[in-house]
Amino acid sequence: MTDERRDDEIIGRALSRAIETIDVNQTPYERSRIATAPAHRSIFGLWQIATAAGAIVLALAIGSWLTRPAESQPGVAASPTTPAATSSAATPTPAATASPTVTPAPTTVDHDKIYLARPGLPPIAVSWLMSGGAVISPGERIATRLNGLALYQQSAPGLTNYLAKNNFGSPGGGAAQVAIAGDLATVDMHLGAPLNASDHTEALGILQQLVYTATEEPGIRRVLFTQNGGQQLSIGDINVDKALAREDVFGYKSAGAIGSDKALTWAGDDSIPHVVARLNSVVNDGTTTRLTFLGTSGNAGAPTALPSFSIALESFDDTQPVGGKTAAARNGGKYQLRVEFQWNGGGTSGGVAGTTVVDQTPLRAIIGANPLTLIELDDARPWRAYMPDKTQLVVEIGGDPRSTSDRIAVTAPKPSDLANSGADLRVTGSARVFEANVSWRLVDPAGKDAASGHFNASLGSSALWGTFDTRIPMPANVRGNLTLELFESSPKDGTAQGVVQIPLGVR
Amino acid sequence: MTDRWREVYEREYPRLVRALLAIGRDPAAAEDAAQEAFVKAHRTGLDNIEKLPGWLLVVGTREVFRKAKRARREDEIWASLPPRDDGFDTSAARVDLLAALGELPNRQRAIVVARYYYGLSYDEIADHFDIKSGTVGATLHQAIERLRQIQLAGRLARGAMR
Repeated sequence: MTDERRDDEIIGRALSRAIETIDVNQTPYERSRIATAPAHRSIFGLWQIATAAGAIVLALAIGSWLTRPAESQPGVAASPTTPAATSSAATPTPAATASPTVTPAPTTVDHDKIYLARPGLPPIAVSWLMSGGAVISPGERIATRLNGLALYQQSAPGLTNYLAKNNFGSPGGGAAQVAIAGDLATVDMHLGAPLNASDHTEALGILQQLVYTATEEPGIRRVLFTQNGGQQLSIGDINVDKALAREDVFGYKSAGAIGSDKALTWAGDDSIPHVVARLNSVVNDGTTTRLTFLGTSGNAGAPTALPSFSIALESFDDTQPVGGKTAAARNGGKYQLRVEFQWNGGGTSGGVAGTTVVDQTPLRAIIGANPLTLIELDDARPWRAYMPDKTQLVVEIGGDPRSTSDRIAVTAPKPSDLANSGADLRVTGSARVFEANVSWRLVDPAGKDAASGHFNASLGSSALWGTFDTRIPMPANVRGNLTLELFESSPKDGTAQGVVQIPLGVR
Repeated sequence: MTDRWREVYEREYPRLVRALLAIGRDPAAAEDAAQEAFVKAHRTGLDNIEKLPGWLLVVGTREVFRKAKRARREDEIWASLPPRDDGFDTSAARVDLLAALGELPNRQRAIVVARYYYGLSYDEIADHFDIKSGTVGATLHQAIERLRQIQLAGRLARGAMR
């Protein structure tokens, strides 16, 4: 140690001793804030407001232009009220019931589709048979689909056609002109009267219907809507002032990780030869798409630990055949999720490049089989993967936007569920957070914490997500509309990251 | 769980309040910030925090500086700090040192306390306070040098008044 350093050290130590002699008020543990939580303190409140503001800023950054005209709207991600219909729409398989014309299993992806809306959730496609026969251009097809929105009168459980309710179908109304340049369609709407929406949720629903329906045309990823000869289109409180992709309006806080460089890779057990990763089940309810792969020894053997794999979401040109094959059927989606397993032990996997057309939003088709499966999708909604055990891999796409962030996806409770005050609430889902620690808090209508805590997911910040199935205590003295927030506490400074906000009715 | 927190609290709280008082020079703000740091630690979870003492110090320091912007009554409070009475000369020297510390810029003050009172390593300081690890030593030396000068000046002034 140099003299200089030693002198510094001497002063430093003297200082340390001086600090140690400062008399301080030693608040006993019993009266400390952590022992008396969740009682509310002024500073604590401030901090909450700061994080809430952070969440709103984030929501605004993503959906700012959507909410610009209405100052009171906090953003897409924070839609405050949810009609009761939502939860019923989220559970069954609305896509199947909503498209009665698709009775036999389709053999190719069908683009005769228009989209209906669900409050707080991404829209869902229903079949709309386009006027048959004549060879029409992509622009004409887009116009035909959009006009179909005005004409579609069938009711479908949980789905709303806001455009039929609107006066979009009034005489002379419709998509008058469509111009196409590359992947961008410009659509001028001829409107007898402006598109009305009673609130922001409805306005967003209309916009989702328009954007998804227009981009249903293969090769079209973005659409710019104008009205009555190039004027800015307004829908309720939304002014449409730029070209929009599906990901701009689908309601999730962020899109799923896109690109092979963002692949989720996992080192499985590659010591066992000839393990087939069989796609064992597919669940798709229009909100969550869940594919389960099961490792089997050979094509029909016993469950076996899965080999290594990688999963990546990629943008796909849906005017082209999947895999560059010469097949006439173009069964690709705008995005495809590649699930690729390692094949160990020589020979070939015996996988066949079969195609299963599903054609229910957002899942279009499943192509190929062990070791490579391509999952064809309508948009780039968030996705994740977890392993319930060594033999199973679950690939999950989407989820309720309110319950889904880039690192947490809650499957229960669902938004608008009821909970009992004083009882335990079961919380299930998956997370990829630091050290597997999921924080939660229950926020009352005044924005204060009614309760808070944390629990662990099965895995921490690894490539794979961890799962959780836990119970959290609802305080006995709280009732009304509360919000359950789950988030990752930043290991750096404790701030809330990847917040999901689930509105609950507590009785 | 609760017992673990009690143990942590009883071990870390007094030291944290003293450090925050030395850094922020406002007893009420120091207590408030220390409590706040514990609340944040509680939210984050013990298992998620690698080195709790340093973490608490950094979070608490940030709180103190945030509050210091609101209330600037530093000097009176600093003057009223009651040093433990164990002999005039040493306590005078301590008061001098603490007073001198109070003259340093915020950042230097925090780093000096982190180094000498909390015993954090250069790397930990660099990491927690977001500064380059290469500059921790230089910053500390500068701060101590300044401290020395201020203290000396104070001693000379007092000597002159006697």
